[in-house]
Amino acid sequence: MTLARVPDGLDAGLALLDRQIVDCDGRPVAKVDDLEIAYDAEGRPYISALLYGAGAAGPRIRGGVGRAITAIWRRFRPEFDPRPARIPLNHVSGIDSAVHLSIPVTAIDLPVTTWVNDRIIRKIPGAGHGA
Amino acid sequence: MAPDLPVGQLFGRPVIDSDGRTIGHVHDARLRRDGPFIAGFGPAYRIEGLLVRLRSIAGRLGIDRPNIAGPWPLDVWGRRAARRARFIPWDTVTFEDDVLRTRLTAAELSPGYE
Repeated sequence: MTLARVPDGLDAGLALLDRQIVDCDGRPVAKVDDLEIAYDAEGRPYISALLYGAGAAGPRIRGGVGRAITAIWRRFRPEFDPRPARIPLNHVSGIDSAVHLSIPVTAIDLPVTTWVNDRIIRKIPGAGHGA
Repeated sequence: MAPDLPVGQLFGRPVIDSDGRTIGHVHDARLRRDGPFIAGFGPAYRIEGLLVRLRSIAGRLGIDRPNIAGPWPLDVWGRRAARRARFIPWDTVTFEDDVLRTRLTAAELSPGYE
């Protein structure tokens, strides 16, 4: 089994948060907007997933702007109690100046991108003629 | 146990020591790769502790790191600010609403950076 090529220790804010996430072909996916915490059997915390999108970025921005971003994000989500989009750590293949995934971008849930593609891009004449 | 919060929402929260004094605010989270094994990734990143610092202009500028590379005098200023950061082991921290408390005193805390 191939394990991720990542450093043994790092500071989350400096080396992970706000870094670009790229898929297995080097295509941009999103930014790391936050990191999900889980707890092991002994109650020790560890990082279980990368969080991305407005649902993760909004609460990190203090004040009215952050609350507005989070409120708009919640309004657009169909769930009663929406959770930020996440990429489990088992899809991470490496960390350097970017966070590299072992899966293609098409396998990742990108609600805003999907919404923009479906509602706007595809309705533009000639949108389906791209290479 | 900490509340159900992601890492980024810990940043900026005030930290109070066992004497009731504010040590500073959470600035970063130090991760060590010795957590539970995740298939395809390996050992997960465990949160070893939190880096705490007082609010400063150097912090606002993002230059308060020990390995900042020039230009002078920003590197000197940044390294000096980094020396004031303190490391708080996670297992000494308890959560009270928006505030974090450590059972250590400020004098017992180790420097944030070697």
